[in-house]
Amino acid sequence: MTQPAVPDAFNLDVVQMRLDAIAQGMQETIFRTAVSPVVREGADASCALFSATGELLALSDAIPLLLGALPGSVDAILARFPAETMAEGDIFFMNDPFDGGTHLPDITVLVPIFSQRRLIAFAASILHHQDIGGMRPGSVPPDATSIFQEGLRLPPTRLARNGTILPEAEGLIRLNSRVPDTVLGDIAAQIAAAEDAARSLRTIATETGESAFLDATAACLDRAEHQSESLIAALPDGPFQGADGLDPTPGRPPVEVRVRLTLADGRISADFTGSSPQVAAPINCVRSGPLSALLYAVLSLAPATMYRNGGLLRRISLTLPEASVVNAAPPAPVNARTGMVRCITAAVLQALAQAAPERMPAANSGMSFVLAFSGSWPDGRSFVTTEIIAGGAGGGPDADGADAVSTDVGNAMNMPAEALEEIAPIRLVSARIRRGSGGPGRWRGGNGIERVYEALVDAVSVSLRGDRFERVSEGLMGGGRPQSSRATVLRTDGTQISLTARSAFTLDRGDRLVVESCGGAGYGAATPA
Amino acid sequence: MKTGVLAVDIGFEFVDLAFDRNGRVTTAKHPVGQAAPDQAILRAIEAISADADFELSQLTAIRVASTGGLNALFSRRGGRVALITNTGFADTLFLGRQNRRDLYDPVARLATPAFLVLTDDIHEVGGRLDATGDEIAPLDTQGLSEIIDRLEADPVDAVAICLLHAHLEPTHEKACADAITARLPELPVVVSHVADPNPREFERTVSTCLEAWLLPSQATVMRNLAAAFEQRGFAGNLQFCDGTGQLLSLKAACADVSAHLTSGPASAARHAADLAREAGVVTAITLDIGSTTTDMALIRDGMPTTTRHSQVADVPLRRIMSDVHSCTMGGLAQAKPDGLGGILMQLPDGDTYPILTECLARLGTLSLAADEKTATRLDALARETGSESREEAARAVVAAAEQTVAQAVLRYAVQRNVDPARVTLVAMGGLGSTLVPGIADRLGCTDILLPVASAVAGAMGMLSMTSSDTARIRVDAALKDLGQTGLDRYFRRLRALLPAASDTTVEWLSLEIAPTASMHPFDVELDTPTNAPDRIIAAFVEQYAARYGITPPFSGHLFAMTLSRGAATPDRRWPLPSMDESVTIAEGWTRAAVPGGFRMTRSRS
Repeated sequence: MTQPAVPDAFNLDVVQMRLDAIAQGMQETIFRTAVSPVVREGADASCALFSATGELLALSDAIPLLLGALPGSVDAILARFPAETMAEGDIFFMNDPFDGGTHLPDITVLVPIFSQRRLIAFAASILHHQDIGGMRPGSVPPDATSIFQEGLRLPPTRLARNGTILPEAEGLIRLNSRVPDTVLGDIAAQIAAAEDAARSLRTIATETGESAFLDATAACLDRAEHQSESLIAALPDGPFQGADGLDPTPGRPPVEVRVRLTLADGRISADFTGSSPQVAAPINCVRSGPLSALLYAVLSLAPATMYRNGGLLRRISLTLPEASVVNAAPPAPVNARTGMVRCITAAVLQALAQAAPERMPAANSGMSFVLAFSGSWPDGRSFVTTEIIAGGAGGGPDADGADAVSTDVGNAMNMPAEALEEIAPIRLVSARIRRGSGGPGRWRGGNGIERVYEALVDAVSVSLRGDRFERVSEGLMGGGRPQSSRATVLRTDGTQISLTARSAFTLDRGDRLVVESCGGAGYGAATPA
Repeated sequence: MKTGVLAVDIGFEFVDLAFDRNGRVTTAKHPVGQAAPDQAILRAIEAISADADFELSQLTAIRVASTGGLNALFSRRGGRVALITNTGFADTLFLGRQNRRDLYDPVARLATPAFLVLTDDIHEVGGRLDATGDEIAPLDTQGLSEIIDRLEADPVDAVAICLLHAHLEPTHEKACADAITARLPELPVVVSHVADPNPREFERTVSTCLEAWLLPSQATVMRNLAAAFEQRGFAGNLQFCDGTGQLLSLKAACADVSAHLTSGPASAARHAADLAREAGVVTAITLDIGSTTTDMALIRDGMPTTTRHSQVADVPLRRIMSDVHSCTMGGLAQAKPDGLGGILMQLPDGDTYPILTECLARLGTLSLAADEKTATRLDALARETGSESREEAARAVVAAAEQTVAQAVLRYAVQRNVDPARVTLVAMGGLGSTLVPGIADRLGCTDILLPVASAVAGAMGMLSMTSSDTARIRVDAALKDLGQTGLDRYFRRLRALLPAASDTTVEWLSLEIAPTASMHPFDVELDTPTNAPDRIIAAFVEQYAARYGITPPFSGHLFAMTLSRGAATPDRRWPLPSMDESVTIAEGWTRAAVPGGFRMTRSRS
């Protein structure tokens, strides 16, 4: 059977699914071989393939928060190192939020893939590294006021030549990270995943011939664009408005996100004009944040048969005010951008719910806690560990919301007590569903989570990033609001300290930290008992 | 004189039988109907015994594989289980790992098997161990006593006990179990340090609750079967197949019923592996396409591969088992428009759209009685997908079915570092020979193995199996620290746990190793056990690199060692089939007879 130069419809499906499977295979490799617990236990990484021209070809099923991060990072690397200058064995990395990245711990690794000396694709991954320097261990300082306090900022940089890591690139990590072996181990996992993908892609290109492969990938992108156009065209034009906001940072002005969605002419346009200016607190996000939110929102309406590649990106446009909380400019700090991306997603979903009300539930918790613990064991060994805690899902449209589950752009897994207690002198005293925290309604919002930690040594530094301590989402169709998030330190002397959404503090032996995440909003008016 | 081995594989619709007397094999299928599993098996045996000329009293062995546990899981019908856990951790089963089932479904749905235990049946008990297994708070015996009071007042079918760090130190779990058994001796108790002696409390809780949930029904079926066979004069060896393709005694099988969940697919994979080995195939993926699911398994070097993590009926399983993955696409899968002109294959829901088998019948591929509503259903589908005729719509459904399976195979293969275009596909199950050529085309595969006995592959696989004894010990030490002396000590302890070896027994070793103590363990398999640290590290590096394409970043932490000892695999030769055998040959494929089946190939050009 001869492969046609331009594949027919079914062959195109095969090409796309092989690409998807290869991206997923990269993800599996990273999860199984990563050294750091936030990846191994929390699954905080994402992988993708890109065309030889730098368009997104396939995505792994990972954390949608990272969906929008890779296209911008790959553009930035290709702008600095044009594809025609690349050679087999080259590897590049970067993390600059203002040049396509997200926040500094997320390092993108890009590997060009050649077959018969012809560039056929790129394999890329982005992974949350355990520590990349900065003012606090874990590189997510909740009290940062500028990017310079958050760690090493890497522009697009050559990591390897001829398959060998350059000593100066390794030196950058060794001199800046508190846990360089862990970071380099995780970078090795990213490279291994890319090399895995390269082998698989070369096999396909060899089967089909390089030219036919490139034609096929171009056709996959066109097909996805057409599918996206049909999907968007089937929805009402709008415009639809959405708005949300984060808890205020003490001493800083409140921040708001406003979005105006238009779904005309088979394109989805999101205009964030009216969103707040950036602030000197790490809650700002960069362009990858709203892009992730919008990509996720569209994919949540798409059937499973739709190609998930850059063809969809061709039908998306963003209007982002400069130097705003949704499109920060240097030197704004961005390490706690998760809350802002969740907030943007909530606003976008709120707008989209007006376009497809029968399919969308009430707002979810709109938050997740990111906790970083660091310090030293009694024998002097240091530890750094991060964990991510979800809230509740929104109720409806035909069932109660799920309790304690990662929602929308989040999909991180929790840290088992047995894993946490092995890698840090911290005891997880309890982990419970926070009953009653979901908003009331015909369909109740899902409950959040309550986790209680106890320090087993003195001087455990904790960096806590959360949200929805004050401002929670409204219910939908008459449903009620959920209970807000809370975090409290219980000192051994009986003192209780209520924390704010973004706090940095120290626990001494016996001190406890109680973290309670927000529930989801209710859907429909509750029936009177 | 006793002679002959009877293998019985009971599935959802049929009991498959294979009777082997001195290498001559007779096979049969018998419908399950509405009968209870043990009764269905007895009826099937009665039906075949006349044709095959045997009586139960003459048999050397009866071997049983079953999808009974799987059916219970799919239908969510199991025992009522009480769970005892640490204070503060009653919600572990519901919290899971907080990830959701479908990433892009706007309605987030939890990926936890919360159905295994009712909220009111979860009991917290005081007492705690730390991450080294040391006690930091004693077990609250008074609280435990009150829990047992409640179990006495409101009986359950089984109790699951899962306490933190019990995989390191089981004292508290044992004390709970002893206290329950002392007062309620008939109540089955499952403890996590036995059911799944590995870290991470959610996964261990699931394993423990699942065992307790399955135990009452599955153990009863096995015991009833044993009693019925005995009543009919059977005095041979009754053996039950587990999910790794090993044979267990009744006692061992009843002590670990979860082991049988995938015994049917595992034994079918074993038959496929036998044929692949004889045909000289190095890497193959089996596709067993039945009425509700397609089961796939990876064969390497003539044996089914194993895994430690799997998902069955939306329940995460953590145990060593044949690496079988099921996708919900079978003959009863229903076509539904996806809204973009395409078709999704889903579980049947309503009567609006056609199912796969009626589409195959419409195209003349399957012989089925005509259903007068088929035309109406195809018309409905054609209207919504833009097909111009019923035949075109039916072809689109078959294509969507092939696509669905191909997609699942792709993911399965790529996740195991296998190139899906370079494997041999083994076509099994009722629809295997019909659909696998089309699936192969989509994957770029050019090699298909079609067992003659593919419809009874589960029963056939058991004819090649042997029984074995297994011992596992926890090591939990860095390989470089253990050295020769340390490994020698553990080897001596392992061997002492097993019955004496004989001239005919062979040993194989499985090592749970991760690059560091906190990383995910990886199974290193050694057909020839060794206690030489250098050889173990070399095998770890080689197998890790083959699986993940990366050299392990650290030299290795050994969590546990499992030594198995059993009879060598019988040297069975399957006969060449006649070329007159009726086999559908897809366009572009050629076939050749190989031992036990046919090999179909096409050119890659």
